[in-house]
Amino acid sequence: MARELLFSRAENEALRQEMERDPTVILMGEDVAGGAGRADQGFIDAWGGPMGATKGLIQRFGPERVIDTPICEMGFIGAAVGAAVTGLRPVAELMFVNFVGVCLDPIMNEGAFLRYMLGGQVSVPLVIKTAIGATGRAPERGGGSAAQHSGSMYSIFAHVPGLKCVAPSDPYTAKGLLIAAIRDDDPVVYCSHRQLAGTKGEVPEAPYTVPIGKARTLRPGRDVTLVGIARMTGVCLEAADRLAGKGVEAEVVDLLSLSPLDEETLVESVRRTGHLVVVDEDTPRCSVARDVAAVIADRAVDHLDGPVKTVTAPHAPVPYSGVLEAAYVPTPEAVVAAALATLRD
Amino acid sequence: MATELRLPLLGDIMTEGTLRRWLQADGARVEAGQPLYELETDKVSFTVEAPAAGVLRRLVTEGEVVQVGGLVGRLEEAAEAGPAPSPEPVSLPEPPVPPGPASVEEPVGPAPPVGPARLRATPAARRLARELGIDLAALGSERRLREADVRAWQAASERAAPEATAYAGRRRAIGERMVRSLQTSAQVTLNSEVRVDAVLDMIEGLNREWRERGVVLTLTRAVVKAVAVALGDHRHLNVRLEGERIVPREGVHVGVAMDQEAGLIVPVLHEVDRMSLEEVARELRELTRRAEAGRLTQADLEGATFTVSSLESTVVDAFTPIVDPPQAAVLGLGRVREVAAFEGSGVVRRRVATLSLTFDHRVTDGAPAARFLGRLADLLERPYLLLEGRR
Repeated sequence: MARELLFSRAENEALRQEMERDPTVILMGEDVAGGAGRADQGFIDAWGGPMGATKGLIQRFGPERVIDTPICEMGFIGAAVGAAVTGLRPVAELMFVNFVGVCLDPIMNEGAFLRYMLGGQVSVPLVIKTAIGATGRAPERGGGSAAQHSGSMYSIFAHVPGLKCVAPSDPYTAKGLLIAAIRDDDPVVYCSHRQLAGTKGEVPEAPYTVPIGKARTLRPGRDVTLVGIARMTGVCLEAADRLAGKGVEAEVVDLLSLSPLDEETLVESVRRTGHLVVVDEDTPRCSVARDVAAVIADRAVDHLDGPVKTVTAPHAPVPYSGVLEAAYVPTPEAVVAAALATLRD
Repeated sequence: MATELRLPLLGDIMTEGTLRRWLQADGARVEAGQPLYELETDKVSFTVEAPAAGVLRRLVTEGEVVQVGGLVGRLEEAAEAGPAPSPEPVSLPEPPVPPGPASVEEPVGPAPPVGPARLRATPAARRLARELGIDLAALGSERRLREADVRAWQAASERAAPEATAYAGRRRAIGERMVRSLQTSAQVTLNSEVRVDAVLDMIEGLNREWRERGVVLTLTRAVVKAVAVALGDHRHLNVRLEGERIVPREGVHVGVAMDQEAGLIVPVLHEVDRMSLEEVARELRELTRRAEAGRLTQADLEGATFTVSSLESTVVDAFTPIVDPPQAAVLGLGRVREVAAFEGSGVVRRRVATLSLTFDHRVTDGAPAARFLGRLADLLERPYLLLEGRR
């Protein structure tokens, strides 16, 4: 019988199984144990990060391998790069993706480029695990986490050559992609949408990987291709249900890997449907969504039977107000409207 | 002294032409070399330039059919055309009328069709129209045309009741040429089924490599190259029969039959024997584009020493192409099909296409023609031979 797990527990299982399998896998970051979680201070494992994804790991693997760090991303991400170069496989948790602003140098110039700077003499088997996305808090409950803690921003990583970047959309892909990221010999940024943390889905117990660089088609359709990223994949599936009610068969492609990009799956799909809508919670300028659109404009142009549409956040920081946040994030209604626009304009 | 503008002769079988469009207004001052009008024959569209400077006097209206050598207009010197007393009212040479198809004093019928720039169609609609040989302008729409519009138009035009059309123009030119060919030569067609797995794989690989260079290889284009290589070893098919003599031709110039709405057209790729495979692919793509845009020149239609007629993109397996005199042979290419074939004691899936060689039995015999066909099959089955340098 299939077993269901919460998304955050699927990530927890991936980390635990990989740490059991490989003693060089370590975990570090702010609150990965839980605040000042140290046995000698009388309490450990208070919460295991904001989504609880690392809860319980310090009891099993000890403070040597589960390291609570000071609030200094540049310091501990830099340390993680050093550890990766010298033989460990660190998973460094960047609590929210917005904090990339203070540690882009160790991620990009060191993590991504060291292999190239040193003529291929080193590998950097590093995972940056980070939370993305708006809170989705109901407007009547007040505000969300605002501009500094709700970004998606993975386009920054996708833009850097030498970095891989993945974004799971459900518990199954969360576990599989996290294990694949840990086993990869190059730095991988693993983006975990905060609103997915509490969603449930089937997850096999035995360790498995979901290949990096491959998209998956979740629902076949012949009229329009909807491409989703992370939580937006679920939005696409809901939009596809509504489109079915209007007689439109939408194909849903779950991008999963933002870099490398699975151009073949995208091109093959649009060659069949002739229509593309890319749905992305990130801001639109220089984004993954626009990049997918450009690939299609290049490689499937003769098959396009309508304008390529992107449904993204507006080009603005994530607002605090719950009402504005709800208006900011792409919705199934917006996806349906875009699909009908490319089909009928 | 006025310069008389007479309809030029654009080829040996041309007898008349249509002045499709004036490119300068009546009374406009033009310089030598400026485009004057568009001339359309049964084979080509051609822009005629001013042979001298002067003030244009139009003598025929757009759409009129004029015999070769017929007077279509005059280029007058400024003094003749000046404001001095004149038997007929003419517009003043100053200021010059801006060039354009419409002139004020000439009542015209419906406005000329808007150019392709104003036509809105999705890329998929354009591709389908190209494949079906449909001119999108004929669909005319306020909104952007889609693939479904092209399909609907195609379906409607297939349903439309057939009407009698004139046996004239390009239709008649093709018809008379074909009848003359069959009545005056001894044509034999040989068919051979050829394995194309290797050449199709190579084409796919080369297209990936060449994509950035804008070069697209197809099976037909590869066959044109193979023909050039094979004719190098089989000169007896690269000849023309002139009365009492069989004369070898200089170089290999391959006519490639193309289907157009107005009928068959066979532009010629010249000096294929000097081209690499990539050059053949690139030049044939360019030739196809010019043919589709109606911009072939007379030179593009002359001098073929051999013809390739491809029905690769259709449902036809094999056929009997007709030799275009004075050429000695023509090669037909059918569609690619999958067949089950024996390999050792097992059965494998294999892709094949049928080559149909029609040759004129007056200039050569079945056995040498069969050897030529065998050489072609060999080149397609070992396609790396097509990658050798220029021959």
